[in-house]
Amino acid sequence: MRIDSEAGTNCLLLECRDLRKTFVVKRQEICVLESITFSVNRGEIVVLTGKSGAGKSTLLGILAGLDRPTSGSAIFEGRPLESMTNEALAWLRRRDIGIVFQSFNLLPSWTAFENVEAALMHTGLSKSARRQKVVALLEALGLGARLDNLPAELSVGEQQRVAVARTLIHAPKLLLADEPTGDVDPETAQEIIARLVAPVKETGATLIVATHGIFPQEIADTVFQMKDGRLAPATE
Amino acid sequence: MGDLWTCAGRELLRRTGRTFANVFGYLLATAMMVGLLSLLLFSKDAASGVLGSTGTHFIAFAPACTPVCDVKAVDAQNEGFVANGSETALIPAGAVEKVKRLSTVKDAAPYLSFRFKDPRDGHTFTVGGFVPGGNAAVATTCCAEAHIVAGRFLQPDDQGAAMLDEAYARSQDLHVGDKITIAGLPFVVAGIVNPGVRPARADVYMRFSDAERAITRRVLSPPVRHVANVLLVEVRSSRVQEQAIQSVKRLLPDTVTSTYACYKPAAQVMGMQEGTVWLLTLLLGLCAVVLALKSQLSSVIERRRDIGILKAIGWTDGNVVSLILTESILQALAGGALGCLVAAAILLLAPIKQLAGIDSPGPVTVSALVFLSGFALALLGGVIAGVVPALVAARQRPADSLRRV
Repeated sequence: MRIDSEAGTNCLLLECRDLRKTFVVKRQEICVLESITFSVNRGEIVVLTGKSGAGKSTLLGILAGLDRPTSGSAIFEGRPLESMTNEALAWLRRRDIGIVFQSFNLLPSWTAFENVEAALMHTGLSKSARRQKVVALLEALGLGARLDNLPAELSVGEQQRVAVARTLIHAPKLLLADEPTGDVDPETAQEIIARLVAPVKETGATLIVATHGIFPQEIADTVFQMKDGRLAPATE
Repeated sequence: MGDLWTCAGRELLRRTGRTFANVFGYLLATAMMVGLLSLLLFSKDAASGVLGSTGTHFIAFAPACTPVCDVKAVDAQNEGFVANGSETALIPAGAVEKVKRLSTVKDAAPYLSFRFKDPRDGHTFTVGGFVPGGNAAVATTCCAEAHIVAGRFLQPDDQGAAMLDEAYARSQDLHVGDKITIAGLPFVVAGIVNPGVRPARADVYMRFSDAERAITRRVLSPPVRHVANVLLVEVRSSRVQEQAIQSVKRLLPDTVTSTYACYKPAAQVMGMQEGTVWLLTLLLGLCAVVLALKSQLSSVIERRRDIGILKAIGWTDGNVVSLILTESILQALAGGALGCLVAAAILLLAPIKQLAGIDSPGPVTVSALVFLSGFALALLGGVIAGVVPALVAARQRPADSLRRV
């Protein structure tokens, strides 16, 4: 991870140039992100720390193509996300970018299996191939017996594992995790961290984690601190 | 596509309360639409049976341009071809067939109407010659079997038989079985009729061929064969009466028509009835769509977060639109089908006719077309009710949807 570095184009995955994001609340403009510039290489783990409201989730939202910056550019594999259509961004999330939310964001009326399978729908995979893939991953996460349970019937830790499985199921190049361990016990947190880090080691995926709590920063290649919408290298 | 149906079906089955409410809405709307439409159409048909045949007939004849007809009568002062009190010319042979072929005309028949003078006492009377055999035009413009007050109606093979108008029979003190002489030809009175007010009413009725023979004896030349001086026309419905009259006038430019104006209010009432039926159907359909739209829109707003999640994991706007639309269509299909069944049960089992006070001999018909229309309208409602919420869902930015959680 470098700030304003000249990254080698062959390993550069993501680049942000002078990102700015504002919201208008009751006719008043609130700046959530200001002058965010950084780049991330393939296979790196980046940790964003900062208090609640620092702008971490908004930044991850823009990197996932869920939101658009007010100005500046977020470039994924050479393609500026802000100029891509909604359709193209959806395809990007379907193939290359996965996001884990703090609040799990599972579909309440869909079972654990269906929640994970939803990420593979519309990808052209056959029903049986999808089933095989989803079952294998959920079993690997220890949820083999919980396939047909609705989120409300799962523990918090299990719900988060389902959310992780949904993100990992299509082997994305960029993994974005927004407070992935915020609501789980330390043991489950360890397991989730291991699950998120594994693709980085195994497939060279890139992981960007936003956290205001515990996260083993020693496994990160770079740690950034966000404060009032601005990005700075974390101080020791 | 299969995935979409599976997802939509699953979503509907797991949100039973909302699904039930939506399906019930479509059921109610379809049942009301089909039931009311069937009832209104039945009522309209029952009324149209009466109104449609009110005044649906007229006669056409060509007035003579001079007091002398193109076939001169022996006693031109007292005798001749007449219709509606006027002297007439003859209408060319073949005109009847042409009129019959008009789309607005149900039936047409030739008619000979000739005024004779009785040489015994000098009184004049009219003879109407028609072809017996149940022609609709004859029955409505001239006389029908139902008008018999004594004796019997003329049959196709009744040579030498005549029927008398009741008033004329009384004035001449004639009865069934009496013998009369017209133009030197003997006739037996087979029946006495009272057809009421008819545009081709006569004092004496006889077969067309008998009238030809009698009239031939009272004209100078040539013999009257296969021609008529009046056309009797029965129209398909009072709504096309005006059209039929114009068509006949175009076909036979020298003719004038005589009819009763009662077809006009009848046609007007029928038009009003039809208008009401379709307006009510449209309003019911609109209500159903608006209710379904509201329900679907609420559902989409309620599921804002879910839609945001689906988009966050790679569903395109198109995928979301398809899902919402499929859900809406599935509910409309279920509600529409159940609505049709409920409507059919009500129409077949409930004493609708008695309740609605419709005086018609037949049962309330269950028209497949009405049911198909009701079902199609429900489906269309499902599509319309699904499109707006689906577009609303598609326009939601996933970040906004997830931020609101």
